[in-house]
Amino acid sequence: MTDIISVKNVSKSFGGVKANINVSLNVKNSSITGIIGPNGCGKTTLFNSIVGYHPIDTGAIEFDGQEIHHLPVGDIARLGMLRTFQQTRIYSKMNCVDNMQISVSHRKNSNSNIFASRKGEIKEKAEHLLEFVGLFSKRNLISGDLSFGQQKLLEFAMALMNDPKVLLLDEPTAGINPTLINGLIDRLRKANEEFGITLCVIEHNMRVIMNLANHIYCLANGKLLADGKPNDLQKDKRVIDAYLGGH
Amino acid sequence: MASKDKNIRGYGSGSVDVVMSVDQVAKEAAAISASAPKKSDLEKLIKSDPFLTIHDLKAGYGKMEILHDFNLTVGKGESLCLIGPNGAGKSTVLHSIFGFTNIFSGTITVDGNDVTGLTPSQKLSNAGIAYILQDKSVFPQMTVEENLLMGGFLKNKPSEAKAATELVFDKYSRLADRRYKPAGVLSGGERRLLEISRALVMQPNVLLVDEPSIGLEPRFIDMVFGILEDLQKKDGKTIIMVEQNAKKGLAFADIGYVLVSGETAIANSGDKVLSNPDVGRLFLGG
Repeated sequence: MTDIISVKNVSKSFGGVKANINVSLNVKNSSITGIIGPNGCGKTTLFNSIVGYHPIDTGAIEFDGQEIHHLPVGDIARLGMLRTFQQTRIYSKMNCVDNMQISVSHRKNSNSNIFASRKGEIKEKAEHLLEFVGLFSKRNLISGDLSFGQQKLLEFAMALMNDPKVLLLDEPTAGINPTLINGLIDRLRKANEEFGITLCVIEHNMRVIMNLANHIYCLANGKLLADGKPNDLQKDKRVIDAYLGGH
Repeated sequence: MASKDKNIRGYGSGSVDVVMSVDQVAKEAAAISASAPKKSDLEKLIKSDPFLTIHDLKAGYGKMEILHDFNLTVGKGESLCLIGPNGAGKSTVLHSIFGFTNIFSGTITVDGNDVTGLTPSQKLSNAGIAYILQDKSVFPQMTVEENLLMGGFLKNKPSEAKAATELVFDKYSRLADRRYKPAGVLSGGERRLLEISRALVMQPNVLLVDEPSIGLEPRFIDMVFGILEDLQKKDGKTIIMVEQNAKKGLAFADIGYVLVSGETAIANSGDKVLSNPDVGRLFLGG
């Protein structure tokens, strides 16, 4: 498998705080890659660097073989890499279908068809994806009235409207009821298997990440501490000491 | 109790194989709700006299009623954890106790006094009830000490807040060591400790704790629950908690309630709720 994301020796500081120090990691195409580590270890900073939210100090980031660390957020999104947030970001006064329709991608539009009417097609896709995440029966409800777990599902479906190649998910299951977490994981796996979307997931919930990811990186104090398969990493003394807690 | 807590670390472990839709969970939960506990059942779960009691509460936001004839009772120095699906009304229970909701009917009493109509500031200063916010409520630019002093802004004199702050520093050296540091530089676990401690400045009897685990790494989850256990067991605080990390919450609490659509579907000791197979399947992820 080829790498779709390559992070090479990336460092990023905020004032005197070194959030990422010489971090290198690779996300294989079509994989589900996990990122774990203590609060404040630089996981979200790394995500922000990858999607171009802020410039990096040193190092390089490649997406699909192309250097992207100098590109702005919009350009990187148009290449097919999107992120979701710890707190949901939806348009809370609009209904679900409308939320979906304004999330539609423009990256496949050429200049000639940009004004062409695709309305019917977009709505059909929106409804199909709402069905995929289990929100079809709620499609005409105002999204702000959905429960938090359902808003997370909506946000995931909105990201899928863009046909991303890679989705970066920042704590997708935080604040969701454990049984509904299983449903979300099931959808994430299907998005990976059926739509071929590469997933890169930050999680603190070990039940989630150990069952979901093929490969996991653990950061600590801004540096890469360890990486490996879920079962190996769970037994790694460095990871237990720095993150998982004593046994 | 302590040994029981050690069984569940962080978020707990297990598989993710039980996949149910929101609607399916709601449907099966509704079936369980048919045999919902009665008020007399709830009273049997407490070990001492009722300290905080909610009677037939109808409450919600605006005109929307979220809690329908909700009942709850907990004894002094006991802990109760509310679990259930997102949107069941768990946080609304805490909000109602603290005075953030519209209460349409019903009463809330603490130590025999009716506190139903009190404002949040009256709850905090007169009724001994403190609400610990869900997440990210510290003032990051202010020092640890200033954050704690903010917790005492309802005190009559600044000197009283100052004295209460010193008590917190005596109790938690981790915070005392960082008293002049901006709260923004604290780790996630220390920040949660600061949020809890800020509520302690008003010397409450009742702590309302909204999702203590959220956003925390596994080690800090165990630490925060250790702090809460100490507050309950050593200082006799009464704790009412909402927790999506339901395994950890139920292992901690003396009493567990499962809320579904604004009503209590199951109530029992924390251990018994934790080992109930229906609860496992519907609410704990199998």
